[in-house]
Amino acid sequence: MAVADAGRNVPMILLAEDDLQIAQDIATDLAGRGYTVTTVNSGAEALRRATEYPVQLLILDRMLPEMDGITVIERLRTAGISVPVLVISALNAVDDRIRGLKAGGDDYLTKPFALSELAARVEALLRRPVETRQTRLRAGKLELDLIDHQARRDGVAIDLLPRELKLLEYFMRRPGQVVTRAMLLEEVWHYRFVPQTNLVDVHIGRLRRKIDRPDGESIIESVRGVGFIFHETA
Amino acid sequence: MKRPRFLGTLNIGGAFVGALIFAMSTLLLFGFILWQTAGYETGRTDVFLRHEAEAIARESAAQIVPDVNARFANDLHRKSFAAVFTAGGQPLAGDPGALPAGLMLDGQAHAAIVARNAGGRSVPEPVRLVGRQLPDGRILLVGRSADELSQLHRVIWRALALGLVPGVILAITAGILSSLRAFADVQVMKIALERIMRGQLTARLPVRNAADTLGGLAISVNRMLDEIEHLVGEIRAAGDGIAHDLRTPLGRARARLENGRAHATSQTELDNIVDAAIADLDQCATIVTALLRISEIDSTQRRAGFGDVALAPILVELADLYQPVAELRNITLTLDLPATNHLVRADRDLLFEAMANLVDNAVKFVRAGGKVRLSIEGRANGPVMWITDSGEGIPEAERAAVLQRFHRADRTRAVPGCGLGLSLVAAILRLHGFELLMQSEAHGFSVGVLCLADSRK
Repeated sequence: MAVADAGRNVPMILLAEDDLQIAQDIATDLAGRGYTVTTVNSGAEALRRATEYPVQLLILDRMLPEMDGITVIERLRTAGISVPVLVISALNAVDDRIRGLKAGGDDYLTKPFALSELAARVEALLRRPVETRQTRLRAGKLELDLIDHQARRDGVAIDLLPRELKLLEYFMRRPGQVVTRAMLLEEVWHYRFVPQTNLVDVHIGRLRRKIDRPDGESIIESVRGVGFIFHETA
Repeated sequence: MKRPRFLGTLNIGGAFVGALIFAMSTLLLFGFILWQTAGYETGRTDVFLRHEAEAIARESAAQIVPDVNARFANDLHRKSFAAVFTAGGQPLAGDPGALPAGLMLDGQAHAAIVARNAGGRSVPEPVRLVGRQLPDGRILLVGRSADELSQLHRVIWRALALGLVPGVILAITAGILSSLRAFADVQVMKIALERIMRGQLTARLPVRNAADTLGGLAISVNRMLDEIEHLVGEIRAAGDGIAHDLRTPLGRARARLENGRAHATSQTELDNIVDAAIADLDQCATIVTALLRISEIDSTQRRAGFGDVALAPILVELADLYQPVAELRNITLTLDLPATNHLVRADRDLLFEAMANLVDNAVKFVRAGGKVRLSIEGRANGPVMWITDSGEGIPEAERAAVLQRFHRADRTRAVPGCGLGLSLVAAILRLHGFELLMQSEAHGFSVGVLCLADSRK
């Protein structure tokens, strides 16, 4: 069990998962990405740890011995601890998903999931999106005016459809961060279903053709098998 | 104490209760008849006696004794009688020879027992009797034997006994017989049910008489069994489908990994094999997720997410979503919306999901250069959202089967997708009470969702 090293600027993640194999694989993967991970295998232990030590993120299995994940979240919120929570569960029910989020959890992932999907969610929860009061988002020579809904490159207006504007805004608020197809579907389109056609890729492809310079590399990079990264400095 | 099981099932008690009720009601009826006839008879006698006493009293004092004697002599049947006594109670003429004790001399009829002279012996007899004081102080008695009345009682009681006893016996017998009959029917049903419970789902309950309660019950149970048999068949078919669709990618993943471990010659080759195996496992997960989602929608009785949903915006959003995909495949996606605003009661997210599945299918199956058109048709029983494409569509014979969870027309095997989309659509439409329409067009095929206006609202 790794012990928190809160002194340095390494995000501290508490993982509560009773399947030891999954717990170990998640911990190894996240450690490889530079996080400090503490693993516990019961709800009560998760609650104790999260209450006693500073934790930046809690990854919580929905079904835990002694105290289930939802109860842990409720107790934490009652105690005034607002740590972001990622609930992972083998349950499929939408109702359950909603319950998980309503109890104060911040995101929800059903098993089985790709470790890269989990990592992307963890990153998204740790790096809260740029909540600007400013009315313009900038990335290199690209600029998005949130008031008149207008994108510009080098001051030249780019003609974008409403959905493309939303997509671009989502990326520009998360520069340098891995964004998965599922995240885009859930948060840009608000769909919980998975289309069988490569919808997301097609929409991204269209957005790229409009915002990229014809010669250079794309500002939205594809990460194979994972999703996309928007590069601020392009 | 435990009753024999046979008797318990037979409901012998029921037969006895029936007989008892029958006996009670008969007794009541007879009692009423007795009360009415006896009352009537007594009343008649009393009026007659009062009038007689009055008539005698009106005669002259000297005439009374001979008159009483004459009456006594004339009554051969000894039914009626009359007597005269002195004011002191000494007999002057007639029968009986003594005043009954306690008789009120009020000119009204009373029941009494008097000692009557029968062949020299004094015999007590129940009578109706009127006693009154004559103007000269003597006492006059006029009476009539109550013998007829008690005879009437006897007749009625005999009739009751003769009628009631066989009646009760008959009621008990009929009760037992009908119980036996019902018992036999129930036994037959029980045997049939036990056979069905042992797994013989094709067996049915015998229906002897469709008109009686038991027959009606048997028909209902049989209908339920038809439905269960159908469902079990569906589940079995779905199970086979699940096994097939899961085993295929699982088998592929296993073969890939085993082969890669044995024969991969480079790290790159091994990486590719592992990636492919992961994709196979992901497909398995997708299938399980879709199946759970379908059963979740199927088991949802909750219509909490329902509201008034405008149909046109759904199609606009779908066109927006699928336009890029269609363009990429060189498919013309058009939108044809009516001026009318069609509103339906629905869960918008689910309805959108169903429509997205259908559009997804259309865009996937239509060949490059083809057309997909989204439109709304207003019908009397509700609006229809149509998705018309220039593809081959689904052959008539396969349309019902297409909605089964795992059916997938063989020629579509090459197309990615796990064949659950349409089953999901069906589950969503079932929840709404909407209907899926399919029809061939001159140059293509249409799938429509009929949003029935009055469905289970």
